[in-house]
Amino acid sequence: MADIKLSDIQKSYGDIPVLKGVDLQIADGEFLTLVGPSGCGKSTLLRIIAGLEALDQGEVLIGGRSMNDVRASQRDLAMVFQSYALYPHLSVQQNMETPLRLRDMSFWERFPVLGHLFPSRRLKTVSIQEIVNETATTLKIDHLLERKPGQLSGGQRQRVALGRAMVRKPVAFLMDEPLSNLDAALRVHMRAELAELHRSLKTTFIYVTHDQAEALTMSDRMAVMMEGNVLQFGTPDDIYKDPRDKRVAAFVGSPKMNFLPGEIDVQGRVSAYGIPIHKSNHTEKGPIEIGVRPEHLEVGPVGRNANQWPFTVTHKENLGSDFFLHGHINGSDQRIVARATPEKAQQISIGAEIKVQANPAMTMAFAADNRRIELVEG
Amino acid sequence: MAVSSKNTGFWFVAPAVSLMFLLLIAPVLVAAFLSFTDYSLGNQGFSWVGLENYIKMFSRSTYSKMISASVTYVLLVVPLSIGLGLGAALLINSVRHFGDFYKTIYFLPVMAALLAMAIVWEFTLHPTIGLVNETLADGCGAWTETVFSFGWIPGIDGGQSWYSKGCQDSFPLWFGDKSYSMGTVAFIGIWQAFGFNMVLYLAGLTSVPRELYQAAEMDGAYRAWDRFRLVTWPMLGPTTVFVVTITTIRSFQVFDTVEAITHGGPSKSTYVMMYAIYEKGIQQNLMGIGSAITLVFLVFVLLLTLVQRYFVERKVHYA
Repeated sequence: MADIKLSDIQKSYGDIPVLKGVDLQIADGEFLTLVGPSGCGKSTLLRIIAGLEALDQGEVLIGGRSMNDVRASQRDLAMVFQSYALYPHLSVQQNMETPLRLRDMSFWERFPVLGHLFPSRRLKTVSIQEIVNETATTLKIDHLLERKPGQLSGGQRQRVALGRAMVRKPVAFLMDEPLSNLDAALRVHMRAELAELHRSLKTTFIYVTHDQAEALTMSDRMAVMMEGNVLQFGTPDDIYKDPRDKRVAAFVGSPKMNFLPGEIDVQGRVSAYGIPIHKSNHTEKGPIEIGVRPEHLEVGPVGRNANQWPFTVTHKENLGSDFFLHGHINGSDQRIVARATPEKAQQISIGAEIKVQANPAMTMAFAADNRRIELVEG
Repeated sequence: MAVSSKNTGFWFVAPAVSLMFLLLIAPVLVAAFLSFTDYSLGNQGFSWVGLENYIKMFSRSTYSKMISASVTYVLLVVPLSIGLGLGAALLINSVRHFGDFYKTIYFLPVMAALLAMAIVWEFTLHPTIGLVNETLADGCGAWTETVFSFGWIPGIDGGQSWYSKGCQDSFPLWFGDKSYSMGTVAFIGIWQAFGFNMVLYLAGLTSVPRELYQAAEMDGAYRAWDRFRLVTWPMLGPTTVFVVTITTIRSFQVFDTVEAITHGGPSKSTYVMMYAIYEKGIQQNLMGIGSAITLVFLVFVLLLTLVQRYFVERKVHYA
């Protein structure tokens, strides 16, 4: 039972700041994802929580206790590494036993040859094996216990690494891009399994990924990091529907959100490419950027409404359930993506001149400094 | 064209194969042949003596002393030079500064010619004018004797200690006393070999994935010993096999120190195989027995290589 609190974590490598004062509060049992493009400091942050990396300033609190002077092995956290970091000379069983042996057995009980002289070793070995077998059954790797990591597939190694982390029942699991070495199909499958595992273990998961889809599908809350800062921290739903920053809006969601050059006129009315989108703001003026997700661009012609952008289709992407139409508005060179149903997309050929219209309720505006601008109806 | 291209491969390997045969395999075959004769260099002919040379080797005490000297030398030099090499590599790997400085210092003996260094050691360990014995003698009666005679430890009679006895009589004839000679020669061998082993281990250490250490730390291995047992030692397995093999072979080949200082003595205590080959085959011109020793030597090396190849290598490569 432990909540994890990070306050004002700062870290730099030489002159290069990697983390610029990160504050996060992670509730007990939560699945938190740190997501961001590579180089944003998410892995460094995870390693600071783990204790593998020293921090320059700030504090890591686990269960209310400051961990700044506690070394990694004493923090009772478990980590799953991107490369899995299994001990290649040990069998799966021995790999999974290692954390328990290090915790439960004394130095002399573990000592080669001499250790066998201790009667207590026998008992502890039995109980350790029981836990390992139980965990292996949960993860469906009980038939692999005798194998060496070199004889396993990527997915199996992934499970063994998970098993090694699970046996000790740590206060939190730290995962550093654990799915990035798997093939696409397995990754999608493991996403669901990890989320289920989290639900059954009820332990805190801190999960680092650069893949926004993993963050959206698995986490209770996600922290979007960029350039050493947490830009937004909230539920996946919040972050997708209500990004507070243009960079967050651009990073989360696939295909990316479309950004159209727009402006707020003297009356506060918002328009893009000269066409009003029926929204307004009375505090800001001047050029802004209008953000519309592909699924919020209606592919027309929609009724007799004149307020539609002319759209030239340059490419059609077939996803089976949906089509993504790539093209540009008004001949500008900015690529815009709109989603269409397969029925609609069938009638549209590449090169066609069609109309698109933004769903006003789902349209967002961003200032030049990436800040979100609130819009009201009208 | 198809026919000629079939033989192309043969023409490509022909130079290597013929050179290997001429330079490596043929001399071994010649030596094997000579070991069954009483041939001497310069003689017109020779006579076939069958297994006589080998029977001599396994019956005369000179040759059993030879084998025991070689084996003792190997058993002293291999574990100690490897242990020290690994220790030095681990220490150098862990320091932030001066790593290169230590590397250079420890590697110097490897680069120096062993023959020249043997002569330097001969002077240093000279019984009367040598630096070592003079320093030891200077310490007599001073605090060094008090400390190193260990009389200060309860239950130990300082007067009977090695140091105090040395002060009363004399300090050892390092190369002249047969209870010290092998140890001293082995010491020079260790001094010379461990820098090389250190470099090999340093190379091995760079290939140990850092993530494994971090995984070990996360698994609760907070003692350096636990991380060594869990990660370093197993990951250095291939390096260790290589280091053991090469150090053993090189230790069997020891010659320079023996030739320069002890000439196999006193009373054959340092009569190692290479020196025996040289003494019999070259100095005494008994090519037959010299070849027989050479073959036994080759068999030793071959056995070592086979053990390495077929038994140990399989256990240390995990992928």
